[in-house]
Amino acid sequence: MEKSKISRRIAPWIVLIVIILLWQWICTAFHVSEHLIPKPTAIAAALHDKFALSIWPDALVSIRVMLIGYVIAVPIGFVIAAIASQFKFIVRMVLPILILLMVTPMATLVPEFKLFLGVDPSLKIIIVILQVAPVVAVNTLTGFTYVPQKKLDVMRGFGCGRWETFFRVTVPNAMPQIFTGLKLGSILCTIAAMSADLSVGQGGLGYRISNSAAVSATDTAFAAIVVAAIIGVLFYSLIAIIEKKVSVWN
Amino acid sequence: MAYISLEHVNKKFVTRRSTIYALKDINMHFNKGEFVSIVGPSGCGKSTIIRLIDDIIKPSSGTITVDGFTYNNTRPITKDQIRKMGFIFQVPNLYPWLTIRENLELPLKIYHEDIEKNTPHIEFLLDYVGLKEYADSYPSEISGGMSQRIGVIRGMVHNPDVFMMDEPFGALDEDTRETLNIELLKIWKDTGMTIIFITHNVEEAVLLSQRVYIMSSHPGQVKTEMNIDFGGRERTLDLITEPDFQQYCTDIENLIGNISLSEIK
Amino acid sequence: MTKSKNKVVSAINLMYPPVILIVLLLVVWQTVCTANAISVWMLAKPTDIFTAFAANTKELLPDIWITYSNELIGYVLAIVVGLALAILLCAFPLVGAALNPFIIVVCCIPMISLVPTLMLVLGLGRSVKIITIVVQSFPIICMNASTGITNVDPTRLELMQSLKATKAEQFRYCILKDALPDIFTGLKLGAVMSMIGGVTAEMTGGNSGLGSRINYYIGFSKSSEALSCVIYIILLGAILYAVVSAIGAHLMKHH
Repeated sequence: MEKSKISRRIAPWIVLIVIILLWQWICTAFHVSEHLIPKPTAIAAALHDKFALSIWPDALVSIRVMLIGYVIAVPIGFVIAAIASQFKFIVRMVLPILILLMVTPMATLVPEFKLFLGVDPSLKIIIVILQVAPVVAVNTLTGFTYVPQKKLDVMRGFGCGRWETFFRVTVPNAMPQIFTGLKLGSILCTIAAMSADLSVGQGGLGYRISNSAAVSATDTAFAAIVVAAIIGVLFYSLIAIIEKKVSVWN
Repeated sequence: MAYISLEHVNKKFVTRRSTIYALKDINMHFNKGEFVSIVGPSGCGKSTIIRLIDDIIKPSSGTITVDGFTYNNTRPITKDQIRKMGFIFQVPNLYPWLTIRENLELPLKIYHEDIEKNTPHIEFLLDYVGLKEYADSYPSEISGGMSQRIGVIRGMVHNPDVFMMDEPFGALDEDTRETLNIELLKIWKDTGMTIIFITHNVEEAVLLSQRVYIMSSHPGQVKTEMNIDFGGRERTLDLITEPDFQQYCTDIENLIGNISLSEIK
Repeated sequence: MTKSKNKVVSAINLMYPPVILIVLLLVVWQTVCTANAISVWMLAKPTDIFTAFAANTKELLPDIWITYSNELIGYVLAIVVGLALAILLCAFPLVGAALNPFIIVVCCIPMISLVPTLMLVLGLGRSVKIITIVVQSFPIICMNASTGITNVDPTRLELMQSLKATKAEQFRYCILKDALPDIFTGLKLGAVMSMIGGVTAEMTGGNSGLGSRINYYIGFSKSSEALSCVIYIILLGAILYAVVSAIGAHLMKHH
C-alpha cells in the first residue's frame, strides 16, 4: 500500500526528469540548431542571465495585467449572473450571448481597440476582462439557476426577501460552479494576457517571447515561456487553494 | 451439503494506525432453495458478506464455496459460477441512458448470450411484475417502486440459482415495500431460488425468511442464527399481527439491542 | 410531422430572447454612431459593418476557408488526442499517476506563448496554426474527460463488477456513458480554447486566415471590414459550440 503511494508521488517527477534529459540528449545528439530549439541547459542559463534584466520586468507587466483584469472581471461576471438569475426570461436572453462572448477570442478586438485607444496600457486589461468575465458569468449563472426549489421554499417560508434568499441559499449552493468559473477564469486570464501581449506588444511576457524569437534568441524566449507557465500554474493553484479553504463546510 | 458456505472468512482493512476487522471469522451456510435474511446494526458488514459471495470484493482470508466451487483471495470465481448469482442493489441502479428493455438485456450482453433468444423470457418477466407497457420507457419516466421491480427482474434475466439482495426495498415507502415483499415471496415460491436477503428491518426479515442470521458490529461477527417457522400458515401481511410473529421480532430486536447495550458497557 | 414542428417551436423559443437583446444593442449602437458621438473611422456603425460584411464575403472567402478548416482540423485532432490520452491515463493507473499532474499543469499554461518559437521551427504555414489549436485545447478536454472517467458512480460500476464485466465492457457499457457530461464540458471548453489558440496564431504571424486579415484591414483603418472578419470568427465559435452542445444534448437525452 505504502509503496504504491510513494511510487505515485515520485512518478511525475521521474517523467519530468526523463523529458528534460531526453530533450537535452536529442538536441545534442542531432545537433539541433540552438536558434530553433535550445537545450534545457541553455534555457536554464538564459533564465539565470536574463531574469533580472528583462524576463522579470516583463513578467511583472503581465502579472499586473492579469491581476487587475481578473479582479475587475470577476465582480462583473458575478453581478451579471446575480442580476440575470433573478428573472427566468433574462437568463434565456443573456446566457446565449455570454456563451457567444466566451467562445470569442478577444484578441481579435485588439486592432479595433487600438484605433480607439491608441497603444493605451489599459488595452491589455480590457482584453483580459472581456475574456474572463463571460466564463465567470456563465458558470456562476449556471450555479445560480439550478438551486433545488425545496431550499428556496424554506427561505420563502421564513418570509425572506428575494435578495436575502439569494445570499443565504443561492450563493452557497452555487459555490462549486462559482469556483469552476473562477478556476476557468484564471486559466483564460493567463491565456488572454499572453495573447494580448502577442498582438499588442508593449511589454509583457508574451511580447518578450515574440521579441526574443524574432531576433532568434530562442533560449530567452523559452525561458520566458517557462516563467509564463509557472505564473499560470501558480495562479490556478491559488484559486484552487482558496476553493479548498472556502468549501470546507460545503 | 450446503449450497453456499463461508468458512472462517475475514475481511480486514489495514490503515496506517490499525487494522480494522469489517468481518471476523464468518461461518455461514445457505441451503438450496432457502430464504435467509441477515440482520444487524449498521456497520456490521452484512452488505460486505454478499459482496464477498458475489466476488465484487475479495476476502482477506477464508474460503467461500458455491455449488461445490471454492474460491478465496487468490483463486477467483469463474464466469460460470458468477452466472448462478443475481445481485440486487439497495437502489434500482438502472442505467438512465438505457431503456427498461435495454437495461434488462445488459446482463445478457455481458454474458455473451443471444438477446433474441431471451426476448420471450424478458417479456415474461416484465409481464410478471406488470410493467410490460413500460419496456421502451426510460428509467426517469417510471416511479421508484417500478424501478426497483425492474432492478429485481434484471437480476433474474439470466436465470440465476441465487439471489443476493442488499436491502433492496430500503429506499422505498412503507406501502410499496410491503407490496414488493409479497411479490418477492411469490418469485421465491415460483422459482425455487436461494435468496440471501440483507435488511435492518426485523419485521421484514421475519416475514420473509426461513432462517435469520443476527450479526453484531465492531468487528462484524455472527452473533447467532434463528429459525423462523410459522407451521403451515401462509406468509402474508396478516401474519404480522400474530403473537408468534411478534415474539420472533422481539427476540431478534433484543438480540440486536443487547449487543449495543453491552457495547456501551 | 408534429415532432419536427415541435423542434422548430422549441428552437424559436430558445432563440428569440437573445435575438431581442442583440437587436436592442445594435439599435443603441447605431443611434450612438449616427448621433456623431464617435467618428466613423473609430467605431463603425452596425449598418456599415453589415454592408461591409455582405460586400466582403467574396473577398474573404479564401481566408474564411483557411480559418474554418484549420480550426476544424485542429479541434478534431485535439478531441482525439485529449480523449485518447484520458482513456490511457485511466486505464493504466501508474501512467495516470505519472502524467495526471502534467495534464493539470499544461491546462494552466498559456500554450499560445509557444507560437513565436513554433513559427521559427515550422514556418508561418497552416501546420503552426493547427498545432497551436491542438496544444491549447487538448489538455482541458483530457482533464475533464479523465475527471468524468475516474469519478464514475461507484454503484453503477458495482453492477458491472457483479456481472464480472471485463474492463473493456465496463468502459463501454458504464464508464463512458456515465462520464459523458464531463466529457462534453471538456469539449465545450476545448472549443473556447481552440478559438483563442487559432486566432492568436493567425494574428501573430503569417498572412492567411481571418486573424491576419483583421491586422491588414486595421492597417488601412478599415474598421467595418475588420469587424466583419470578427463576425466570421464569432460565427465559427458559435457554430462549434452549438454543434458540440447539440451532439451532447442528443447523447445525454436521458442522463
